[in-house]
Amino acid sequence: MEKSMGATNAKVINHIPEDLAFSILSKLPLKSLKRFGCVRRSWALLFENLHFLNMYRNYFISNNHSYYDGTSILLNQTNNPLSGEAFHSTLYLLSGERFENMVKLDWPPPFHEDDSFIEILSKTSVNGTLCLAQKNGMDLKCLFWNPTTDEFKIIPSSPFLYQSPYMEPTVNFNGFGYDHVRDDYKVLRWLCFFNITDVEVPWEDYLDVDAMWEIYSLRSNSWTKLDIEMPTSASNEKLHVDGVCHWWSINDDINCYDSPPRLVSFDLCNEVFLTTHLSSDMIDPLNILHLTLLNGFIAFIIYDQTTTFHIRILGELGVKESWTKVFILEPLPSIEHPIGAGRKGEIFFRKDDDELVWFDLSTQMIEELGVKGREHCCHIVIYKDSLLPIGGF
Amino acid sequence: MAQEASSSTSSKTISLKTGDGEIFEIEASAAKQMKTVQRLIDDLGDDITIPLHNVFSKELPKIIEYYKKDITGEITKDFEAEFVKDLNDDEVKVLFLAANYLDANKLFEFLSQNIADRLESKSVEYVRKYFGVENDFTPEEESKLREERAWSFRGIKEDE
Repeated sequence: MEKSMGATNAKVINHIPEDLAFSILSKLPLKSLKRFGCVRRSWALLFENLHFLNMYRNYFISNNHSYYDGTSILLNQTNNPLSGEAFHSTLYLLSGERFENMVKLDWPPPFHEDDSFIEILSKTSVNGTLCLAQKNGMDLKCLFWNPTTDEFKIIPSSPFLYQSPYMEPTVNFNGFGYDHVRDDYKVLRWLCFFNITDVEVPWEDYLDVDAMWEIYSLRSNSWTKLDIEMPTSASNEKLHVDGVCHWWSINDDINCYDSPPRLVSFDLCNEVFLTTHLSSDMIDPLNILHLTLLNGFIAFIIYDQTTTFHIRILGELGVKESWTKVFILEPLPSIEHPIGAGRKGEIFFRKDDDELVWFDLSTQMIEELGVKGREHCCHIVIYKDSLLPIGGF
Repeated sequence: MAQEASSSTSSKTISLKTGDGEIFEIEASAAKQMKTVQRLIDDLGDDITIPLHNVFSKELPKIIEYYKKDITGEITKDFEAEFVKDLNDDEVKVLFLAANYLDANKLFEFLSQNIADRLESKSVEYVRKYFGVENDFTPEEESKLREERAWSFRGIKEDE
């Protein structure tokens, strides 16, 4: 089609009416939207305009982020045992439009004897591989596992755990993910040490072991100490997206001083971190924060004792002003707390009767999954399968 | 032929007349995708030339091209990329407004996404001109807002 210079129309159509403008604006990234708030008054308050907000929400829910291509949902559930019963973690693969198919997956052999409190690090998979961890008393297990091929690979113990025979380590896993620069899988955790009680430490053997970060690299098959002062996680919600591990903290650094909550993002490639503070209206002593990935965006679900859940989406890492109010879910009767988000605007919750349910952001419907779970011990994992050997190399 | 062909046969074409007097043919099944056209057909019948006062000879062929591809189910990402490749921002705007007038939803949604992609890194001034809107902030209000949202201006080239 040939282009002609100048308009052949009677006049150049200049003005786009506001409701048409919204169709365009609702498809822009948050950074652009915030900047264009300076265009005119009504655009500065876009997120308070219900008409615009509905368009933005619809687009947000229906726009499939490439992160989710070819993925399925795993539910890592822990039972709420009756007295005398034991704890068990059970892994389910959820499929079907309404998650009507739930297939139980068997944990790999190292967990056959004890399958309690198995954590799937960063709720993520790398080339079909999950990183599993379990800390039960003195026993510490950490391994890579591909549920599709059933291959597993135990991660060796760290040389930093027993630096002093008189100090007991406590291990906290912070993340698992992929370093695309080195084509390497990495596991991040921090250690702190306590004196073993009722042991007399000879003066000359006294060794003060500081808390420290360490990182495991699959390529080198070893743990390295990280010389970094980084805030530790305050909760079980840890994520991995594009080579960056995210968690949130109320610590200043590893030494645990109380600070306002902030998001911590650790880049596995260059091993540096960035913090993003929360905006002041997100912080309230009565608020409970749940960090999640919603349709590819880092988000906090904020709730309190009521049945209202507020969702704030992060517009830009490092920018506290970019937490944007996008969804308010209310009322969700009997819903106690979120357990994760799915692939297309589903949010999974646990109810006060232990039933696990999912909420569809587009239809506002709640459906039961048909399984119950223990408070704060159930998690959703976005899983992309692969037949590659672990590490792919 | 046993009976007269009804308006739902696939070979039926509709005549559309643009605001600047040119006539274009379109298949009835493609016309169905443009709700404004379909409404006019329902009111006026499918044998007369349908007048489209607000669409001109520069845009209509392009729109017809899109829906011709649509009825054969062939709209791919590659086709859409090709479709807008040689259009400048103003040309896309004209198409966007025409798609709105014609109530051609699929094309409208595609073009709004394309315009959003084009505007993503643009300056405030460019967007004001593009949408044809007036700046109704006082200078103090605007500078205060720009300061509050300074992070959203990082890396963006502002024009004068």
